[in-house]
Amino acid sequence: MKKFIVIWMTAVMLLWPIGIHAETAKVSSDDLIEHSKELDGQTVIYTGEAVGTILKRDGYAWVNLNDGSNAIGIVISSEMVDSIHHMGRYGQIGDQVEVVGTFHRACAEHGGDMDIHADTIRVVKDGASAPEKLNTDYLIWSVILAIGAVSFAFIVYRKTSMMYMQKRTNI
Amino acid sequence: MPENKQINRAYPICYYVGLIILVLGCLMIIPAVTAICSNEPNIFSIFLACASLTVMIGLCMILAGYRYRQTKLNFGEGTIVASVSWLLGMLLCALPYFLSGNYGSYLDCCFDVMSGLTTTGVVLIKNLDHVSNGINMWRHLLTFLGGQGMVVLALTFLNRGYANVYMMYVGEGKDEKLSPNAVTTSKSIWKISLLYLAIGTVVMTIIVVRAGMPLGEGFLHGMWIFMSAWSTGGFAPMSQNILYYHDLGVEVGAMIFFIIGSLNFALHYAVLHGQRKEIWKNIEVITFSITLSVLTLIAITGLMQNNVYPNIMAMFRKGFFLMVSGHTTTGFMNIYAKQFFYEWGDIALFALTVAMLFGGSACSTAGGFKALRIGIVFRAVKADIGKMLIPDSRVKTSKIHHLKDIIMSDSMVKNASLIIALYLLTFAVGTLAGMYAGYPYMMAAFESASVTGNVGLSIGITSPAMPSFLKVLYIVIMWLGRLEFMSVLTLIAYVFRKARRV
Repeated sequence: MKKFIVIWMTAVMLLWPIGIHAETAKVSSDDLIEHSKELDGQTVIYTGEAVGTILKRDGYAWVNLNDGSNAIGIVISSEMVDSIHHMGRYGQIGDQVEVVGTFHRACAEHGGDMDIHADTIRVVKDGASAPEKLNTDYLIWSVILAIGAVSFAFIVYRKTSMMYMQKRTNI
Repeated sequence: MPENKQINRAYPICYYVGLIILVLGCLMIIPAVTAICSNEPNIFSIFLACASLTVMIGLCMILAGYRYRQTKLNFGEGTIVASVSWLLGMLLCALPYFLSGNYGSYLDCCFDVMSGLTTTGVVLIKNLDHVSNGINMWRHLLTFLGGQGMVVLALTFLNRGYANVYMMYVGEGKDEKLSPNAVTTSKSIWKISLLYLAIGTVVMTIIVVRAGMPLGEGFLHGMWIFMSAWSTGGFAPMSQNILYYHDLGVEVGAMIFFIIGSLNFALHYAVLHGQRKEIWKNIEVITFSITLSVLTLIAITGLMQNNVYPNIMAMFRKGFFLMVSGHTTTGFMNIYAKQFFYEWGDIALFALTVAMLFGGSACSTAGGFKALRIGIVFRAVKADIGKMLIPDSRVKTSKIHHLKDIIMSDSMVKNASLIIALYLLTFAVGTLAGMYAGYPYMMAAFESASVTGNVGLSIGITSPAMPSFLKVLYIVIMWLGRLEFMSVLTLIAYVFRKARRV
């Protein structure tokens, strides 16, 4: 019986952190916005693509994570900044970042912003560069149209100049 | 013979619409250059192709009407030039959006163009956080252009000899003359705007870089935020709008510029020419200050009742910022659209809805009823009450101060009341349509006030998924609101008359 209790207690102690983690809600941006009052002050797990630029401030930084519906502002410590390598923008897919942190409906520290103060962050999927491939059809058509527009502008200029001169001669 | 006379009247309209289209085509070169500088070759090709096509259409129209360009336009024709230019301009300016692949349909592209040109600011663009610099430049350029007016821009390319174009200028919802001629007035408006563009871009770039952005990107963001703020447009380069920056400096900087942008161009002109005291005496400034103060107090009461914000700073950065953003018809947002619905409560939403309908100053980049009209109607009511208290034999006149002392006439009050009534009617139609589409009353009213007043704050209705009929209706409402009804109504009457004759 003694052995049984020791095994149980050891198991509970080892699994305790997992238990806490399991209680932490995995949320989407829509959940955060629509249930902001219920989730205010709670630890949440939120995943999204890092977009734009990491906005570095004194001792911390802002990173905006977009989960496809909305982008949520995450407050991260300066040390966490280096773990994010790709930021989503035109021609680039940002890192998918999972953040565990405290959600604030209207953060008193940050002027009422809805944000998450990160305890940990983890890149779950690396971003990648997706450079624009040159579309030759677009290029050819644009050059043809541009030549057409310049030629037509010249014709219109000549024609209107002639009309103007004709009118002046008649006067 | 009368048929011949009618055809002749169509030619000058064709000429001036062509001129405006030509200017729009030339403007597409700016995003094309931005695209090539940002290594976006496909976006460059799109803008080059669209610019060429638009220029050719404009030149065709100019050629068709060239002989009749000196024909004096009457009020109806001037307003038709304005309304047709906006409609055709919308269709052509939507081409780059459509080809970029950032939109679900051509209707969505037209919606965003009209939203930009009317300085409304509600958007249907998809995946804004991955949009190219070229397309973002075009979005913000359209809103900057729309704030000043595309007719106003086209007029600046004419010489002073064109004294016959004043009605076009009026048709675009502006009736202040900064100088005796519409062409020189247009040039003055653009000079003021470009002066502020230079100052504003530098200031906003410094603020944005201080907030953590690198210089190159910060320059573009600074310029775009200024363009949007000055035009009271509300577009921003990122999906979170102003919230993206998480910075008090950006919010205060933008707020200063959109307040300045919402002031009458005639007031800017007077102040820049030394009449500084005009700021304190002007009826529009006084009316705007009073309505903003009262409505902000109501909103703050509502927000406090619901415990929405935890401290004064949060109340200032969210409550006050959004009230000023709504009242100046800017539409910059630093909360999520649905937060209005889930958190703000009815009292604050009511105050913000009223503020959006009231709007900024006449002859500015702002929309809404306009402070001048509210001031006139309020003074008229006050004068009527005053008349009841004095003997019938006594005659009392009422004055307002707008650049000079003006004695209020009945026609002035009638015109102001008529436009306010038309705005309210449009707002009611928009609200009804929103409810028909299945949205609750408060949401439908909020979004309708936002599009009627050309504001751009959204409570979550405006999205690519909203019904097509609502998109079309909102386009028409934005167009009506920006041109202040008369131009569009004249065009509709013109089309009906033509149709009946056929």
